[in-house]
Amino acid sequence: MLGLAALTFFIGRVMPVDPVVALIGDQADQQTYREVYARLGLDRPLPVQFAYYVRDIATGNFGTAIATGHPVIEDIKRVFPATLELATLALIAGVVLGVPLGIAAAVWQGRATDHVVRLFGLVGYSVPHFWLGLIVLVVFYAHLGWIGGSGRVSTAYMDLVPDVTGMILVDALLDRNWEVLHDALRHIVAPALILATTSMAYLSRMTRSFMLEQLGQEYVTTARIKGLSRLGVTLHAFRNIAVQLVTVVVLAYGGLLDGAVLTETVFGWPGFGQYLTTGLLAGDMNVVLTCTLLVGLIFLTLNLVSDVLYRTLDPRTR
Amino acid sequence: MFLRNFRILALALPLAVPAVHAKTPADAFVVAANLSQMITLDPAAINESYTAGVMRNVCDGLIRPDNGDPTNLTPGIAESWTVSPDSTVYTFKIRAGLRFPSGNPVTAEDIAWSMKRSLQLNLANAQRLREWDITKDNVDSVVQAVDASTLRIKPTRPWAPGLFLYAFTDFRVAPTLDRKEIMKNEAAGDLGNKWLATHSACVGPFKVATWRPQDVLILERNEGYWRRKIAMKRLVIRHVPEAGAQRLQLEQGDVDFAANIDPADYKALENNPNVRIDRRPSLGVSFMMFNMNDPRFRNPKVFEAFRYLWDYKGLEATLLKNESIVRQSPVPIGVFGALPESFMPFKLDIERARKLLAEAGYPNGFSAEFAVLNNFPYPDLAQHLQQNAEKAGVKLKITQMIGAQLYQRSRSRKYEMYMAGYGFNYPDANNIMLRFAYNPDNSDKSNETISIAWRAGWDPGPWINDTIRAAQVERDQDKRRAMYEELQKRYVASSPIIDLFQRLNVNVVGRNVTVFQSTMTGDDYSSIEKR
Repeated sequence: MLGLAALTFFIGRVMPVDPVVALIGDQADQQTYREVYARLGLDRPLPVQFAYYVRDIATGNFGTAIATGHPVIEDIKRVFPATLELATLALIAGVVLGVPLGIAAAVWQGRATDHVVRLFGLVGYSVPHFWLGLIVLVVFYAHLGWIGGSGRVSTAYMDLVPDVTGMILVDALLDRNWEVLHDALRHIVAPALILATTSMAYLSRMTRSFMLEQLGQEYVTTARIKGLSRLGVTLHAFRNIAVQLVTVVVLAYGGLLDGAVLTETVFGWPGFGQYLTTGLLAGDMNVVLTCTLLVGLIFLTLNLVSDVLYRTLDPRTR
Repeated sequence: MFLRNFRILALALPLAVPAVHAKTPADAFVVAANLSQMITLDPAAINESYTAGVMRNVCDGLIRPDNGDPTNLTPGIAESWTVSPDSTVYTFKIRAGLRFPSGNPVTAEDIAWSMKRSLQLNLANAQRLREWDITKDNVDSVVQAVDASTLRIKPTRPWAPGLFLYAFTDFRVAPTLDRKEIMKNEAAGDLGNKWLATHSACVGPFKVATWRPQDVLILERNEGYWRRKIAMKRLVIRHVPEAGAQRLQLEQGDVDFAANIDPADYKALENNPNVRIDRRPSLGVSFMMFNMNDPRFRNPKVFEAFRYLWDYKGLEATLLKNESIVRQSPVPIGVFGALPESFMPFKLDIERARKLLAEAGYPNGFSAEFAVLNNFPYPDLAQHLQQNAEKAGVKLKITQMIGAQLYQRSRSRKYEMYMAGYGFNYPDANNIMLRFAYNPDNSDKSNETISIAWRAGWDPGPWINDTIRAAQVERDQDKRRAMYEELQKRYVASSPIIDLFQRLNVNVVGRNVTVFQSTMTGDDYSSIEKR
């Protein structure tokens, strides 16, 4: 983690963006510029700045964000649940659709199903999210009126349920406010599905290749010779890819939790990706460093989770 | 902004059905805007024009420019004012019975304290006071609360009254802040800066109810507001960063106003019966400049040559249609001291440019880096110039940058050629000439980094510097106007700064909004009425 912090810090400091200008704008005079420069501690040598930074985070002080005026930790508490909610739904959609598609492609390898799934995977991987997002908004929001527009809820439903978890779906459920829940679902469905396209494509491709590997094994041939049905064989093989698949799913979740800036931008979703990008463009090292550490932490945790699941699912590793 | 180059989007948007269902409540005005630049609501620290425009509806100034004619000053927090015959004493009578939303009475002490606070904090807007020579050291003698209802300003220079009064129209120069309420929320001697970043403590038509950065700002009507009855109970400004999404929401009637419509969409929106587009000249301009610290850019003939490399009228009619108008002098139209609209000495003339470059010693042209702002219309304008320059033998390498990067380059004079926009603060030529032509110390160590002339490495010489200072104290408005006209003509003849266009203030509102008054210095939300 310290290595990650050091790397991010020094990359950030050589970035040509001036945090002082981001804070005071283009029209402040030199007197203000110099004072704010010193107040931000930018007049100190880089290693000293880094030492101060490490000392601060060791004591739980992650600093204040230039772009919001709030402590970074408070901001993250606000933006992260929004991303968590979106990423979780996207992952569920990705798994529910991607894994069966991958299995189908493997079982009918070389047939029409396989080609369709592979094409789908290629498209899901390569279509730019912001373009897809706008098309979805035009068709399903503006044209058909099936989904909500920008943001997490419509203006009329804002601040109607108490903020308990920061996740609007959960908060609406806790409050048993079905109208807000309905409106929030109308808003989240499009960004979640668009985010899901990538994980769906990725998971279907990985599932397909894992399954193909298993289906080529001798035990599968044996099972087939013994007359096991296609379904039976598939289930048999699937149990053996579960372990690998869990690792892949967990990694996909990590990727989604980083925040998806383009999807969040198109759908006005006040999430982690937008927050990090705004911080980055303002040269706000407090935000960039804290977010990077958080992403690092997410991956470490998810790796741990996947290791634990690995041991649970695979008796050989116990 | 991610979509700027994805013209394929244009293929998709016509699918949108322009059906407005007027879904916003009748007593609320809902706005879609990109709020990523809104970093603080503290009047001492607000550093960009959108936030200032919004907060102008939360914090009244001492004086109020008339919505129709901003050069006509009407009472604000001050119900009247007098100026001594030698213009060394300005006395403001504070409106009787005025109270802050907290219930505290508004006093002259609050205003004096607020001005001093800005200087002590020394954030983005301290400079706005120093521009009038009000400093941390002299503020106690210049700004005095004589009693609870009398504020006396004794400036160090006898500013022309027609000019100095503009200072008091800006809530960022002379804010009226609720001192008691703010000091209750002070943390670590910050004079409430942290608290005011997300709260308001002013008198104005609205007050801040909720502010979640990069999400939503909700303003609530100030019941019993002194100036007028306000129809809108709430003003909801939602963060919608993507221009295409803003347009869809406006067309769907989910918002009443979209603040950042892509100019490419104006044409389509004009044909939409449910949307209305209003335009008026703004205080924003687009300009390019050369860095005279670079030995190649010392000869005024080079600048003159580049003045002939722009197809001003062509751009106005195409790329900038309904977005900007040609302006070849620094002071925008509608501002005191502006040259007439007909002042247009330059047009595209590549042969002439080539000849001027040859006379300047570049018969074969040169190569240079052209640093430009990365948002519309700058990259497109840069390409336009690049093509024309190529015909005159000059090779330009365009580098696009975000503001915080580009402004740093100009502040440190580390660029070759530069293009960006600039927003002026009040409609008087002083503001413009001070920024674009005043530079008494052109050395690298100078404190004049705020001056565009300094950033261009341009020493305008004693006549221009002295005349700008003299005009500031010229009491005869006709003489003052004549001084600015002469200043601009000399500036255009010698400056490395090339004025290109004046931006228009374009308001895209739903048809259900019957009244929406927009002025050169900002939008007036208190005027809004809806069907």
